[in-house]
Amino acid sequence: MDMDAFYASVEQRDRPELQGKPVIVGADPKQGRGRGVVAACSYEARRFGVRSALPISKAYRLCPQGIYLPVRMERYVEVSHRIMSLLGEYTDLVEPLSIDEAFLDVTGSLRPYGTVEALARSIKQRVREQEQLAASVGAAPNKFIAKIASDLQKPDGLVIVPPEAVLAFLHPLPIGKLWGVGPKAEAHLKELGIEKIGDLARLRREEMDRRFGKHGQHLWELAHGIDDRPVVTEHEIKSVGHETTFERDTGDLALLRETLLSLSEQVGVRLRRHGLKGRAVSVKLRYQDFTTFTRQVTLAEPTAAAARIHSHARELLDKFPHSPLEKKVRLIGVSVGHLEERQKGLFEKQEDKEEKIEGAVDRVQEKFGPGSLRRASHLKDSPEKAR
Amino acid sequence: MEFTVKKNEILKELGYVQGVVEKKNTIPILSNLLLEAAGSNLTIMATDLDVSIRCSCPAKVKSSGALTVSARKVFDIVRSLPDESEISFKLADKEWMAVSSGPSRFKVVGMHKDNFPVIPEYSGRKWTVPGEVFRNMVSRTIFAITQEESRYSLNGALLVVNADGLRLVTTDGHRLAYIEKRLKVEGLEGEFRVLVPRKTLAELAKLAGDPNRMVQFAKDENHLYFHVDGRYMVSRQLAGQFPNYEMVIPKDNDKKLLLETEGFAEAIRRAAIMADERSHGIKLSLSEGQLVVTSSTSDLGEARESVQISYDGQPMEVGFNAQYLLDFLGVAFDKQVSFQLKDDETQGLLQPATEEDYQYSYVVMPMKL
Repeated sequence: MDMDAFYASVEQRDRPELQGKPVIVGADPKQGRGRGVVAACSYEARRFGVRSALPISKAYRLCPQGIYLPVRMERYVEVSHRIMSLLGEYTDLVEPLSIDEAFLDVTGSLRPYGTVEALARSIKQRVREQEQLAASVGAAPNKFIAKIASDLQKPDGLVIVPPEAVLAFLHPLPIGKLWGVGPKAEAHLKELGIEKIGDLARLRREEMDRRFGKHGQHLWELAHGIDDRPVVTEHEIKSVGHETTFERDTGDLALLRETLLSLSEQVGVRLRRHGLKGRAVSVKLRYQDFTTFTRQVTLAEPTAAAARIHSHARELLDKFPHSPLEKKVRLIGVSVGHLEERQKGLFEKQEDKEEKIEGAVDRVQEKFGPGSLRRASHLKDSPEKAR
Repeated sequence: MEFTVKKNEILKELGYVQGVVEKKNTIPILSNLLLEAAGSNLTIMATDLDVSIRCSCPAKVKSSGALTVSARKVFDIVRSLPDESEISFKLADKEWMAVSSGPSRFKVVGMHKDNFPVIPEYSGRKWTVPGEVFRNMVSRTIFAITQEESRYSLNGALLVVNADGLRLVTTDGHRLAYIEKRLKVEGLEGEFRVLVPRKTLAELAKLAGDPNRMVQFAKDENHLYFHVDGRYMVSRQLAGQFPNYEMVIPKDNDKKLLLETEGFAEAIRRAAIMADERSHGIKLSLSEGQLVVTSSTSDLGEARESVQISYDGQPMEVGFNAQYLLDFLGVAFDKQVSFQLKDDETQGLLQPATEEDYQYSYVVMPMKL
């Protein structure tokens, strides 16, 4: 969700006589001699060519009849807080990106609305009702696409990009829309004949790696619509996770489950070492075609016990859109989020027991090495059994 | 429908119903009030399907009738009119409600009353308790109710009523508040236990607010019914199992401190300034004659406060969430509190030191620092 011309719209809302007029919020123009820049401007002002970050003196030359107002940051923050808390009614997973933009993970909040579109319309309508302000919403399978979508039909926009339409949506867009492509990189890419995002996507991954290194690979992934960064709220920036890429893409369910177990154990060890417990277990799968999905479950009691992490992770494995049998898996990961402070619980006796056992295992392994004590199900690959 | 009411009389009732009105706006009619004019009364009803309330105030009724209108708008309109004004409501065409007072005119879009949920009625046996008892018990326990909606059975308080009195218990899994009032509940045989939603408690505390009000209450299988001074509130009971709270109230905490309530709270408040902003963790270090409260955040700094106490036991250190301790100290209503500890893993027990009217205990789990 991205508010339209936020500062200027708040001013126009607070002072109705400014509606329909070019409003420019920023430094004092001092009849064209002012220093400083435009912080924001209304859509009416944009028609004169005024843009945010433009020197205020230049803005004044373009639009001398504009209404120039000082930045009332406290007021905008206050309105922003109200909007963010309204967004919080749709999902717990709200990640404010700036004062007037936020990512929402609505995966678990769709049911009352039925469709993404209905939910998106509800957000726009409630922001309008509550604040008399317009918001643009972009909905997509990941943050990168959603951000572009929110920007595309401003003001008062609503763009929904379903998973199957991601590439068709992305590829015709100019290369400059790609995150991480600034003016310099844009010029460089254009020299190579890459004008559109689709042009970049047609290059081979190795080619991008060779030319631009790690950043090139990242751009290549974005150009293929791959962006698996989760929506993180301020309170759960931290999560503990482990992932592994298979040497060969696999469709072997038993191998996936086993890998989940060892990943869960690594996560559990790290959680306990830091005295943390988490309330959300998530599993990530990247398929052979690089499409990536995550599935998450929230627990009633926070945990640091590998046994519990693993049992939830195993259940999550069944909730992915494609069975590994039909689409092989390249990478699998487990992470535990919604980490709790080191507060102990009053009713955690049962939980304590599992953690105590695993704590004892940790200590044995610290003393005698990582392979010294292990689950029977792991014995399959062990040298003892091979003998 | 057409009637006139005095601003002050309707405003008071609107204030009571406002808290019940559904905030999430999922079903439009739940953001509305049902207004019913008949005889010489205006009846105002609101519900969110879990909690429902009915209030009334005197009205000059020209013609009786009913309509639902936006609770928020009616409240804002009434509140904005001058005190002492008379306000007229008249049903206009197409289920609009015309509201007027002096030179002010409003038209509020309404919805037909047939879609408004029916509020369950109860006319059986009721028990009576002074309102102040409910209010007191609620204000000293409600803060420990969990904020997490997923923990359904902790989303309210356990209310236990028997012939000897009332008990209210709340917990969020980290701390637990327990309060008991001994009094005769006339006509009650045996004992009942119900889970009361947080919202019901909050609204009940408001209804029971004025001194000398009596609360009449009753229960059946699924609902709780409250009558307070002509106002009627019905609440669904929460389903589920409340945890075994008796088990977690510590019995053998051997390190006993007697602390000045305000002095202790001040020390915690200051120490908490440098505590981690997420965990609010502070450390209590106990040694002969002294309690030291400290906190530190690696990239911000540290704080240290000392409080003189009479203590001659073993030294010990234990961490707590500062906010959890302050929540209790703010409603201890006693000059001194007792704090019983055992070690850095066992829950602490806080109690007002001299209060006799209520048995009030607060159990709080330590934090690993």
